[in-house]
Amino acid sequence: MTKLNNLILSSTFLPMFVCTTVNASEPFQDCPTEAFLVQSGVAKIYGVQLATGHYELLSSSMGTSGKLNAMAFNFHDNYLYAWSAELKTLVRIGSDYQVNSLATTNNPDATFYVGDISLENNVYYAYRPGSSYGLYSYNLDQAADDYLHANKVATGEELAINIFDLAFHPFDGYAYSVDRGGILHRIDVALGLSTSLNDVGEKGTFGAVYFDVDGHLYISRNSDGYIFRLDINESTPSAEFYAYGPSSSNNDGSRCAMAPIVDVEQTYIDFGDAPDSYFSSLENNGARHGLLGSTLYLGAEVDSESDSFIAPLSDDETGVDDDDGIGFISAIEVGEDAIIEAIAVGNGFLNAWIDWDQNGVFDADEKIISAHSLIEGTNIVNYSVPLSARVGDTWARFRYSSTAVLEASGGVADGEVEDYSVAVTEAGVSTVFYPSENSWSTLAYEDNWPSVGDYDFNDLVIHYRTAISTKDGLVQRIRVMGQLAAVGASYHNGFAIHLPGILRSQIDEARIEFMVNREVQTVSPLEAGRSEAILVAFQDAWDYVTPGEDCKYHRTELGCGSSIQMEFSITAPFLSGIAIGQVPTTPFDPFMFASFGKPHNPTLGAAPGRSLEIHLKNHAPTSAFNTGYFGKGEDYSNASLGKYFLSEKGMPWAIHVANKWPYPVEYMDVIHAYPYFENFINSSGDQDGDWYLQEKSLIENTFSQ
Amino acid sequence: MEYCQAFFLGLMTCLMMACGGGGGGGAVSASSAQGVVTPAPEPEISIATAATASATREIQVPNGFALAANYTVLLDVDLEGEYSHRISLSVCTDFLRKDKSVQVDYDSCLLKASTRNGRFSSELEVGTAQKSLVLVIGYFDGPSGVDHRIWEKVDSEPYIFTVN
Repeated sequence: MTKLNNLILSSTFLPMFVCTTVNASEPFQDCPTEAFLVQSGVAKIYGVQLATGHYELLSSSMGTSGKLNAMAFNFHDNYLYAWSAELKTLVRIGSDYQVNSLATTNNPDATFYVGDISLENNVYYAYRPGSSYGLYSYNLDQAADDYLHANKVATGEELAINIFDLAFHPFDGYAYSVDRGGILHRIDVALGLSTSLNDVGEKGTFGAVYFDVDGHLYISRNSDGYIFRLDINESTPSAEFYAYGPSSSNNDGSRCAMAPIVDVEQTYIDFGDAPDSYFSSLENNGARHGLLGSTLYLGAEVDSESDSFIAPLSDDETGVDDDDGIGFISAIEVGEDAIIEAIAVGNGFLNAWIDWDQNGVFDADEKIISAHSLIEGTNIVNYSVPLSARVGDTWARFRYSSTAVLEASGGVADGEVEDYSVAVTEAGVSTVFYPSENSWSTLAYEDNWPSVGDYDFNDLVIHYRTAISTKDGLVQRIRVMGQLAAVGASYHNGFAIHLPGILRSQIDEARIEFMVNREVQTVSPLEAGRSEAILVAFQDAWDYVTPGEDCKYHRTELGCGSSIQMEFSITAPFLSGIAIGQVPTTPFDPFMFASFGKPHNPTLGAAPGRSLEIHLKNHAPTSAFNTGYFGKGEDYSNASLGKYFLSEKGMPWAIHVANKWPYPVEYMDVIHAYPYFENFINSSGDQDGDWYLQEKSLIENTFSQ
Repeated sequence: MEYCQAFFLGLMTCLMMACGGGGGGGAVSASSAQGVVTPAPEPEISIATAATASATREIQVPNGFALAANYTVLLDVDLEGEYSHRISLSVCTDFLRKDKSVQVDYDSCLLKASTRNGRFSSELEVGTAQKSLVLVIGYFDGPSGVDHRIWEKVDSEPYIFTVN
């Protein structure tokens, strides 16, 4: 990922963008991903990123005072070729963008504006409709007998199609184009025959057409610059809007058809990161914004990706967190107004969508903000939530650009796209989050209870968040979310949340929403056979994670970093609202337990399973726990005094901190990673309440990869 | 009894100690666990010397102290006379005061609510490191906008964030 902080992108990027050497008359170094576009009465050449429509002037002085047209990139020698109106012949253009006349023979008395070079046989084909013209070929193979000699392949009557450019498919040998009426043509240049395939659904003068290596045909409409994409591999290809490109009355384009549309080594594109049903990836024509030359973005950051980090990956957690420009000031309540804050850099336009019906698509009627003008700085924007909006989690997309009206997908030359997972609630519902709506607290366990361990507090580490939703003074539902952050033990452990004071029968089990890695789970997390409410997030952490290569554990040893491999979310609604005072205080009662059939501390016998639980200090175990374990080893629990899971000195086997905690690395005692932990304890929490913050740590002794 | 090597930082110092988590097949007795003295670099003297115990197991926890990570703040809003229409209420932990404006990180909000009569109350759980909160009042009548109220923690309970 390339970070483009503040995006002061000027001509310094131009040499990289054109992917060329600068030696005079030298060929291009490789098969460029960019397309080339010639325009104007005195030819100027532009480089175009088809993915975003971004274009840059490459040269306005090409050594000709006339038009160039019928331009083609020759994969066989890496030169551009075009027909010169001034010289009335074919010309070759190297990486210096200077025209070099070729000594063609047998030229017809014509100026061509349609042409391309076959990838199969190094032959340039030029076409002009009309009875006096037709399809001509020029062999570009210097060893051929007819090198640069014009051969007429078909007359204008034989090949009568009203096209303005053509492009060769990278593999099937045919050339393709779309005529003014929107009909797709497949042209057999060897026979000089054309086959009309189908109506692609868009009309106009498509003065520049291109292929990519995957067989997608891109057609650029002169009148508005819109670039459409067709998948030629389909039986009836249709034109899908792809990007906002440059418009021109005189337009001709070419590109190396063997190149992918984006160079993964050099991308300057920002993508969204919503699931791909919302059109996020490049393959799926996802929302994307060109960053070259762009001075518009939201928030403090924008970064580039070679493709979308589709959820459950995240643009925020992979590289730079640049989804930082939109603040959801209010809740999103059905049928009510809501407010967002948009922090803009540069003046532009905001377009936004929320998937109200949660069907995985931003439908046209789900556009909440359209062409809303923003000025640089903080902007407050309100919008309405429809009565039809469905309660629950969904996705929102915000696009900022100099182009006023944008669709939810496709490319645009500047700005930024930011996707957010958002929650829609019923009208009048308030939600209390802990530690906040979009941050994590951490639960860290020593799993060797009742023996005291090494206090590295990383045997099982859970990032943890809760939400309590209330209406009219009654709690309607609770939600717990988590990430399995680390497993620093070879014991097999599960994780669950006990809701003290809540009965299992009070939870509306049929309406529980249980997700693992954003996939709906069919199994209920509400533990069966108990009277109390226990939500089981997972039975065995090792079912979901793997140690790093040459590592013993998961994300606890130095050099053993990896991404989070398991996250969960449980929303548990109540059958009827419960008085606030009856609902346990967050973080409720989260605990780890021994996985079924797996060995644990030998003090407890073989495979204790659910009968072994480890809770936060002074949290009582559930009914599944074997109370006969109390007092074994170094445990000093005393149920009659309300003391649970503590050592003789009062130290717990589990701690909870209110941030996404860089826990100690393997075998590192917590006080050697967080020295202020000691005084926090000694002062009964009156001092050093911030002991767990990273700036209070010896960071090299913590795991923060 | 399972033992393993301590990892190396700077000069390699190998300490025999009890393994971190449950050791699978190996038995770990209570007496085997010993503290780890880590020869770690010391970037800040104040941090490095903050602990006097050589191991967590030596620390005596004061009786009754459960190491809670959070404390409770009661939010009590009464803006009945100030706003006659529906307003939104968001309480957030991360914000920046700049001149007369307040820049809020809305990812840090621990309450999202609304009220039509200007009154609202709720208990909020706040991390022990947090010493201030901001209430963002969003209003919809006429041009939309926001107002801010800030609460600072003082060293006495109960903690009440009163807005009127």
